[in-house]
Amino acid sequence: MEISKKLWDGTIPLCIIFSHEGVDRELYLEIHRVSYFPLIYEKLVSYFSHYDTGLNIDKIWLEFDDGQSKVPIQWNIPSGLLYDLLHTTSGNNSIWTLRLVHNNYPSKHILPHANVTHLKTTYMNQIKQSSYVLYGNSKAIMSLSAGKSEELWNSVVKHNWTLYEAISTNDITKNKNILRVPVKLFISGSPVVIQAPIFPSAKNGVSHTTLKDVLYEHVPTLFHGGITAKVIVHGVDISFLLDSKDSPSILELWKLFKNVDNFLNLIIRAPADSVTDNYLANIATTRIVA
Amino acid sequence: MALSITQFNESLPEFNELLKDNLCGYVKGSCRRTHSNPVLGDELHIYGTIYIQDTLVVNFTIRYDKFHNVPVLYFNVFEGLQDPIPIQDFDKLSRKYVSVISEDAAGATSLEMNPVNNLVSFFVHPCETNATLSEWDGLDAAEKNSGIRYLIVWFNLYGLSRIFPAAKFRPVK
Repeated sequence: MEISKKLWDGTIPLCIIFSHEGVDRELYLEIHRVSYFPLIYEKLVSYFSHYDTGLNIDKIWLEFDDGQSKVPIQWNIPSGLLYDLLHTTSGNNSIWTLRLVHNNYPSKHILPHANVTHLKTTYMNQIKQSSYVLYGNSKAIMSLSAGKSEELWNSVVKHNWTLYEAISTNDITKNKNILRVPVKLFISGSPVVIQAPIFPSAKNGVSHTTLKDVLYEHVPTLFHGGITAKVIVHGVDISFLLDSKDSPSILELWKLFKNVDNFLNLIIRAPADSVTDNYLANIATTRIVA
Repeated sequence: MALSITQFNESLPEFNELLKDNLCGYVKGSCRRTHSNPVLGDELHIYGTIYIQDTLVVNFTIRYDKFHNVPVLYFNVFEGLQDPIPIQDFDKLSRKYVSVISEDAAGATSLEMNPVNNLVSFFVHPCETNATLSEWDGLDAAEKNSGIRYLIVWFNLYGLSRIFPAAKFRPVK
């Protein structure tokens, strides 16, 4: 089976806990890696409404307890990416327990209106942005007919590979010259996301840009001086490619591992003390003082 | 007219000083430049605060968007100086503060995560910036290659002035 299709079929195991009148209720389910949490909110509300009829889909969110603090889940980030970033940091592939909450929406820390309508807007903005990076403009998305645009979104909502692949191949990427590859580097254990638009060819204009080239340019401090950061994509550790003589180009990696918004999301997992201290201190100095 | 990240970084300290001078009637706090962590490599940004009509507090971040190759603006608005209330509803903001908010600001703005402080913030869409700045004919040839001049024009078209027109840049040539 083709790698892209295998990734598309990949799932993550969840346990959703909802507390009502002091009693924890649980729901176990598997969701697709290549998807978004708001797409299961209706199911969650439907199930937990048996216990609390006051649940409002526009006011719920999911929360993760990392042992030190409670972290609201950013619903606009792909679910598999969140699983890898927040749950499998120590190689833990077990069930991820999240809590469904419906009071005091944390509007400072996650985007409001976590419903399907706003997810669609967010998704379309993301794919327009990746199109801009890929082709120098967003025409590939902006010129889709209303029907095609809706089909594209429906392929994400219904997780329909055939439909998604057909539109992606025939209507978005076909016969287009790729200028830059849209890559995002997520630094595990920190809120840092690095934008990395990558020229497919190296500076010499002959060889292809490799994963190693990208990391050495954008996160040099994590790949020098004895630090051995790992590179994770869709839950797969691809660090071995850094030392491989036959390392695939970043363009090939993008084709295989890109998300439905056409970004290649790479997680950089470095030893904890090598990443966040300075950055978090910096964040502290820029906190709002009102 | 385009701005590389190198030009952006090189121009930022001077631009920051100009910003403070130009917004001095507005800025009660300070605009300051902050170096990012070395993990982020080449990214610098400006973080500042302005007070409007003694009732609104606006915290803003200016950083470089590598995907669009342009500067971008994130901002948060708070109402009341003593017990500030964050405003995330742009309609409410523009209805209540019609005299200080640009009429068409809502269409240019959405809520996004500010990657500098990881807070939900208003964000001015950058997708038209390059095209607009490329067509800008208010500068001579030499000025078009100046990072400072680019940032000044950008600030007036897509920076804070885009949302709060009175927060205008009036640099002395």
